Order: sequence, then C-alpha cells, then structure tokens
Amino acid sequence: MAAKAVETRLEPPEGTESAPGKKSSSIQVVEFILGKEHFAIDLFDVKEVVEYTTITHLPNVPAYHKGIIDLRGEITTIVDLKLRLNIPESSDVAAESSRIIVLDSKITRSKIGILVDDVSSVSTFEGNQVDYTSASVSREDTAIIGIIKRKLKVKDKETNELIIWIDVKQLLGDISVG
Amino acid sequence: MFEKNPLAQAVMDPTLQIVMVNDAFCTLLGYSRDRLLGIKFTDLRSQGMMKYLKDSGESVMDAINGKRITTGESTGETLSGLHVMLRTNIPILDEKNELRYVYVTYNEITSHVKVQQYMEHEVTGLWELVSKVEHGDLTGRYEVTKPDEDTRKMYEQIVKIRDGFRTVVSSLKTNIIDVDKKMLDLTSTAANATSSIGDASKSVNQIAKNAGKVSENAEKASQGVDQIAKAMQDMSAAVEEITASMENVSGLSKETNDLSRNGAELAGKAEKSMVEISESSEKVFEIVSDVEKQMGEISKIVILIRELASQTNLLALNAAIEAARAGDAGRGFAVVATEVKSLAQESRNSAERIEEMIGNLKKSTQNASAAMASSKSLVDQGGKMVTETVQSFKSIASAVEKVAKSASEVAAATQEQAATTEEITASVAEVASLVEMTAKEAGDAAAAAEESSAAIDEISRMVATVNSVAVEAMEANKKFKVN
Repeated sequence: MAAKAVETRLEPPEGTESAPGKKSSSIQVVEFILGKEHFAIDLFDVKEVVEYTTITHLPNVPAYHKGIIDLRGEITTIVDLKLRLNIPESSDVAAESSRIIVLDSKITRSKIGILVDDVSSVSTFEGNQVDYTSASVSREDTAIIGIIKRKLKVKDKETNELIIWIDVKQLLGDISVG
Repeated sequence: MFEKNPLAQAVMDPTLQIVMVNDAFCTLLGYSRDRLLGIKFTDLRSQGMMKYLKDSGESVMDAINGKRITTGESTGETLSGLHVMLRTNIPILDEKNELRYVYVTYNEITSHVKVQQYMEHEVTGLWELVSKVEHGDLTGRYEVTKPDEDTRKMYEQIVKIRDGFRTVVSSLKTNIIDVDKKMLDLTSTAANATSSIGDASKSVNQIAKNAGKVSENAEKASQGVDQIAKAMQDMSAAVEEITASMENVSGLSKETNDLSRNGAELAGKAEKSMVEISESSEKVFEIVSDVEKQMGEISKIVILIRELASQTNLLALNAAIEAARAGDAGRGFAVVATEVKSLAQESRNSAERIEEMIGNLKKSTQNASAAMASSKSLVDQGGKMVTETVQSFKSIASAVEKVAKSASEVAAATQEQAATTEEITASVAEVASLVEMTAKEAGDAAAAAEESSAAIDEISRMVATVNSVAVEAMEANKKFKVN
C-alpha cells in the first residue's frame, strides 16, 4: 500500500470539465482497494474520506446495506461495496483500518458512504490510458466504465497495473432513490 | 556132763528121731527141749526150724550109711540168729556093729568167722580207698563198718589205720590244691607277661618305626627350616623394598597434599569469580530488561507516529479531493496536499521501519534474555561445581593426610616386621640345630629300640618256658582228683 502511494504522481487536473462519463483528455479519480483489486471512482462523485466508525445495523435491508452512521450530525447510509459487487470477503484487513468514502450529495438524495478496504490516492489519468472497449466488462449490471492501465516500473521492467473504473451513481441508483 | 556141755549136742536113734538134746542145742535152735524131742532130725530142715544157708562137708546121712564119723560146716539161721557151725556126726554102734544112736555136735564158730569176715571186708574197703588214691582220686572216703561185740577190737585198729591214711590224703589234697592254685596264678601271670611283652614288643617296634619317622621328619624339617631361612631372607628384602616404597608414598602424598591445597585455593578463587560473574550477569539481565522496557515505550511512540501519519495521509487525501474540486483555484493547494501526503507516507514508512527494527531488537533482547537466563543457570551450576570442587579438594587433602598417616604406620609396622624377621631368622637357626639334635637322638632311640626288642624276645622266650613248666605241673596235678 505504501509502495503504491509512493507511485502516486501528482497530476495537476488540467481542463476540469464536469460531466463525468464523457471522454476527455484527462480524468481525475479516487483510487481505492477492495480485496486484492484496485478500483476507482470519479473524483467529483466524492465529498470526502473518513475513518471507520461504528456502524449501526438496520433490520430488514439487503445484505450490502451495511447500516448507518452519524457523521457530524447527519445520518449517513453505509453501503458495503464488496458485498454489492460480490467480491469474496478475503481481505484480512481489520474493520477499524477500513475507510468510508462519503459521496457527493449531488448524485444522491440522501447522504451515502461506501465502505472500502483502503483509499490509496487521488489520481489523474490521460484518456489513452483508459480502455473502454472490453466488451466483457461493459454490461449494465457491472457498472464498469472502463479499465485504467497504469504503467509501473518494477526492477527496470514496465508493467501495467489495472484499475477497475466503476460508475458509483449507477451502482447505487436503487439506494439513492430511496 | 552132757547137759552142761557148751557144745550143742543131740542124740538120735537110727530113725533120726531126736532122743536127747542139751541146753546149748536148745539155745542154738531157739526151741524148747520138749519141742525138739520126738521130732525127726530131718524135720529141722524140712520144717524150716533151721535154714541152711551154706553147707559143706559130709552130712548125717553119710555118717549113718558109712557108719563113720563125718564132719561138715554149715551156716544156718535159727530163731536165735545166724550161726556158723562145725558139725560132727558120730554114729554109735552096738556090739553087732548095728547103729544104735547118732551123736551130733554143733560146735559154734560164728564169732571167729565174723572177725575173719569183718577183717576181710574192712581191709578190702581200705584197699579200695588206697587204690583210688593210687590212681589220683583223693575224694574217696571209707566208713568203717559198725562193729559188734566180736569185731570191736578189730574196728578200733582199723579206724586208727583209716584215720592215719585220711590225714595223709587230706594234707596231700591241700598241697595239690595249693600248687594248682599257684600254678594257675603263675600261668595267668605268664599270660599277662606274654601279653605285656607283646605290647612292649609292639611298642618297641613302634618306637623304632617312630624313631625312623622322626629321623625322616627331622630331615624334612631341616629342609623346611632351610626354606624358611631362605623365605626370611626374601622377606627381609621385601621389607626393605616396602620401606623404600613407603618413603616414596610419603613424599608423593606430601606433594599431593600441597597440590590439593593449591587446588582448593584456586577453586576458592574460582568460586569468588563465579559469584562475581553471577552478579555481573544479573546486572546485564537487569539492563536487558530495562532495554526491553524502553523498547516497549518506543514501540508505543512508533504506533502513535503511524497513527499520526495515517491521519495526516487522510487529511492530505481530503485536501487533494478539495483541491481538485476547487479546480484551478485549488491547483496550488493540491500540490501542498500531495506534498503533505508524501510526507505522511514517508513518516509512515519510517515508523514501519522503526517498528521492524524494534521487532528485531526485541527478538535480540529476548535472545539476550534467554542467554542471560541460561548463563545464570550455568553460572549457578558452575558455582555449585566449584563448591563441590573445593569440597573435593578438601576431601582429597584429608584423604591424602590419611594416606600419609597410613604410610607412616606401614613404615613403622615394616620396621617392626624387619626386627621380627631377624628374630625369626635367629629362631629358625635354633630350630635347625634342634632338628639336627632330634635327628641324632632319633637315631639313638632307634638303636636302643632294637636292643630292647632283642631283650624282649629273650624275656618272651623265658616266660614261655615258665608257662610251659607251670602247665606241665598243672597237667601232672590233674591226675589227682581233689573234689
């Protein structure tokens, strides 16, 4: 995790057009980790990142609907993204070290936070680094926008680290309505 | 004259009828005159008035028939007793030579006959007695027949003779018994003597044999004594060797004693050192414990630093998010946020490295701790061992002292032994001379025994002679039957 953080390069967000989903010269994302994979969501969908705090569970809700927390006086619904994405609970990360990414209120009507294993960085990627074409991933229920390829130099060898870019708005559509 | 004649007379007629008897005749027959007159002379016989026991010579009938005087002798028993009579039968003839009467006289000779018979009888009895004595039988006795009036005189004479003979026989008997007894004594004495001589002979033989054995044994003893003398010499040499060895032992034990004392001293020093080591290691242990404690504190601080770094990171992240949303306005801030984030990251890395180092250190201190503990136990063991060593050295010292003491005792004993050995040697020499003397004396004894043996043989022969003489005497006396 530390190594990845070091890798994170400062990319000043040039030409910050809104309208996410549109192809632009560069994209800004918040990178986070679920299990073993790296994921990313649009930076402008994110309000802030907070530490884990005790979650109050709610009865008679879907399993990924983890519960609610009190965030500075506001009730915030917590969604376990791993459960939502059917990622097996294989991480040995303690609940206390996990993070909650609080989403921007403009995409949801109520306040929603997603529970992730860790948030690694805020990154800027060039358009050519994103692969939108993979047919296998562009199905509706997966809510995957594309795969970001990041070049990594490990012992003078260039490899690509793959980051799964997902559309959090589509993913949480059902909840955000409620 | 006819009537008073002491001869018994009777007159008969030719028909043998008694016509006249005198008193003597009546007395002889024991019948009265009246009874006798008128009976026939033959009636005396036929009527048993006179039993004729013995008859010799011619009878009355011879006188009648031959008309001559006949004589005879008869023994007859009448009422008055036994009578021996000389008969005379005289025929009295008339002028015509015709027998008128027969005159019979009985001259009684009974007393003469009796004396004669008595004498014969007694002399025969006496002769039998003498004859017995002649044949050695001295047991015979003769009782002289009781006499009557006729034989009293004879009896007295015969009794005198018998008594004299009896006295002689009796003294002879006494002598024979005496001699027999003495001879018996003599033979038994001779037998005793013979047996004693046999014993003596045996003893002398034994003595001779023993003397021979003594001689032999003396020779063996002499050899033995020689061996003893040699053994004594060997022993003397051995004793000298022992003495030398004992001196060596004494020296060695002294050295050992010194060495063990040195050892004990050194061990004592080691003990002291061990105590110091123990103390030092305890101190080290304390220090290590202290270090461990301090490292624990450092760990806490490092955790705090990491926490801070984590929070700083989060802050930087949020700052970056804010900066990005701010667009161009936040561009500068975004740089700062990134810088802060990288600093946070670095401090986090450092904290992690420190943690790692602390972990290693912890392992090291734990090892050190374990090593200290084991060294402590080793030191303890060492201390114990050193104590034991000291004890051992002390024991060695005391044992060596005992050895030295024993050695000196042995030395003293050996000296005594040497003296004793000399005494024994002297004694052995004496014994040797005694043995020689014994051998010589044994030889003398053997010679004496031989002489004694010869003398005993002589005595034996003499005793045999005496015995045979005594036996002969007894044999001779056996002829006499004394009871």
